[in-house]
Amino acid sequence: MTTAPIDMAMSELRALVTKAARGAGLGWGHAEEAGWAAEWLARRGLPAADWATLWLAHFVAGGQGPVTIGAALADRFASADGPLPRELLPDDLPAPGYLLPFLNLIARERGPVALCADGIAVATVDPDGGVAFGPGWAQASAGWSIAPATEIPTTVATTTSRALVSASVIDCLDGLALRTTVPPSDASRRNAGAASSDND
Amino acid sequence: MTIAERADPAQDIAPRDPDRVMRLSRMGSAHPMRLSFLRVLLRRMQAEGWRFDRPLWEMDARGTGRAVYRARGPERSYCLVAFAHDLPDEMRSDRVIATAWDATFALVDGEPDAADLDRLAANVPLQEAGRISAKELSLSRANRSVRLFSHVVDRLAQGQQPDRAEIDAVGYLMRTTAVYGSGKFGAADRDCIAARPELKAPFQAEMLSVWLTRAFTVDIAEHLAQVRGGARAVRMDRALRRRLGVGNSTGLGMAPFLVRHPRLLNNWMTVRETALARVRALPSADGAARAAFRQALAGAQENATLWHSDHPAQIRKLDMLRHDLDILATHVDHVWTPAAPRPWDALWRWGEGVLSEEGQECLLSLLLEPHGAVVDDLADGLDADEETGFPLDGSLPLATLRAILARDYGWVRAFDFADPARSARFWYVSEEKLEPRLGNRHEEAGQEREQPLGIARAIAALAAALAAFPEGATLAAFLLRHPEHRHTARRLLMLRGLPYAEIRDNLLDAAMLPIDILRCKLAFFGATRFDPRSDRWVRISLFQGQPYPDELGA
Repeated sequence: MTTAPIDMAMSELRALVTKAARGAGLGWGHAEEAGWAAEWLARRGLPAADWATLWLAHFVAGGQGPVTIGAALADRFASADGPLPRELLPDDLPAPGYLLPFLNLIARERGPVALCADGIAVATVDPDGGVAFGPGWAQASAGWSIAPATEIPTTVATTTSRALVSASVIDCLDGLALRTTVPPSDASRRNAGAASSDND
Repeated sequence: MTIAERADPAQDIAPRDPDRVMRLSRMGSAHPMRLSFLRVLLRRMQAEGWRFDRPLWEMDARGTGRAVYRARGPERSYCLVAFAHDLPDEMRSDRVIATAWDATFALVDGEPDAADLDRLAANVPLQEAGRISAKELSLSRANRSVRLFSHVVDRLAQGQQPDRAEIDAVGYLMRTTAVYGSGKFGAADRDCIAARPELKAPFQAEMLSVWLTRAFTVDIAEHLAQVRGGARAVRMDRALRRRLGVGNSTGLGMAPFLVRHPRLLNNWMTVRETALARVRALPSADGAARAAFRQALAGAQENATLWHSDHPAQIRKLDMLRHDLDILATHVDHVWTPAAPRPWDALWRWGEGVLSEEGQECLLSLLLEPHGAVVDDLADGLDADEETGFPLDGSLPLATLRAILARDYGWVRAFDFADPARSARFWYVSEEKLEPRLGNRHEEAGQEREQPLGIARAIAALAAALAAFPEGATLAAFLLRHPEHRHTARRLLMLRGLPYAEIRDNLLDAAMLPIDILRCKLAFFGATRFDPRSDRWVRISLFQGQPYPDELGA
């Protein structure tokens, strides 16, 4: 049986992914960028929560994630001068679409940026945040790099103000988010609030 | 850049020093004022001639059912949908662990149709366990003050008015225990409504919800009185009704907000401090302003008399406030020279030298009260774009961060984090109800899951790491080596130039009182009768003494 997707507010999705990323082991700085990127993607109708689940599972297992890689790329290239060099990325890159918000930060300063697989552009981000996917996007799985975009692919992502997320994906993210919480103890219950009755 | 973020070039009296304003003890002495959010809401609705009615009232003899309260502004309508329940006493709890309440509410953007009402009926009574939609702006619940609610229903049913002393002793028929907005549980995101003039200032949807809830609390009491008393029953006297607000019961859940929304905090404080500076700079005090000030002072004295608390810290503060207001009244009546140049500044400077923090912050509120024409436009600067500056500029030389640390964070050096008492607490989220809690670091488990609210300690750690890093390096190089400081570095860069963004105190200190943070935020809401039930839990009243919908616009 399938259940209907949950209609989430953007801020709600962002908060959930931030907590899940922190629960997966990212530092708070990268965790808040994971949440920021999720909102950026979801506003363009992209499956941010699904991608987050995918790469967070990979990260928990000891692999790399697109947020730490994307943030490092943006730190290096978003404000540097001159043409963007081709920069090779790790092959075991889960959910490479999660790099797009970070590539937009670079594009704002240095013009359109392409995410390439085996040297061929499969997605492009422009300085205004527009995203386009090429025909090779669905099949691309290795040989990742970024480079200045020379051609604009054909499929343009739509924009939306809500995120539809499957209940199973939310369960996965909730499970990771729960790792940021502390199990109850006598002390935590005792210190939670007023000592007096509320029937007054 | 908002009004709150730019200097006022005509101002030759500077706003107060953030080192003085942003200390917890002073923030914990904050008073509501005419730029508080509920006052901003009421002024706008009055000025724009909003109309209010109650298009639906379906309540049975037990007082269970549903109601709709409608607020119609010049461009849009908003409706509070209320569900009244029959709650056994043993289930009544203000804590977030509660699963049932006397009444539950949602504020709808526009007017709900029958399908909306049914959808809300299936979800709103569940609160956190339900879902609302982009069509809703807030989700909330309220519990009765059992003693006062019963008294009022009994008296009205017998054809008598409630006892004024009983009303004053409690001050509300119901207290809200949570009001969620801004995307919570599926509600509309803040950015979907922030451009509307009527919702631009912070928490306007939530304040509207609570104000309409206040009307509901009286209506449901009158309904039950009518059921019980039949033809004998009477409605509540309007003057008595005015003395009722909506209570609010708030715990630690609210405390992290001011740390997590520093740009918003900066703008609230800047607005208030700019307003004070403007009033102090006025060249004279005309008769009308003096009379309005004196009237506000008398009102504050009455409020301080009626304001009760059993909490030792608050009892001390109330004693100081009552004493301060008495000497302020004496000074104003017998010593103050309103004909002298800049008389309001003279009064303020006298107060700074004589009054306690509690009295000084109350004086601030009183000084703003007669000066709406001078300060009310500042309300336009209360909101904030909190995304500004989120992306990091990796090319920044570390010298820039060091300079910001030296200029804006000198206050951190006052705390010696080698002393265990300076980091005795840690903020965490409870697994049980996903609510913020405060633990004792050296006695309880869980500090590895600490929330990043210990700003002073994080800044001290960043400063130490920067000091050990090569002089000419960039931020990108530093963060590659020290990703653990990414969050703090971003905060520091996002907040540069915002003088009131940081609470300049140590939120991990053994002696820190969370109620100080709560009081500051609640004062900006417009809350009165701050009554701590512990050092981390407080009851307050909202809209007490303010008009009802049928008085503001029928």
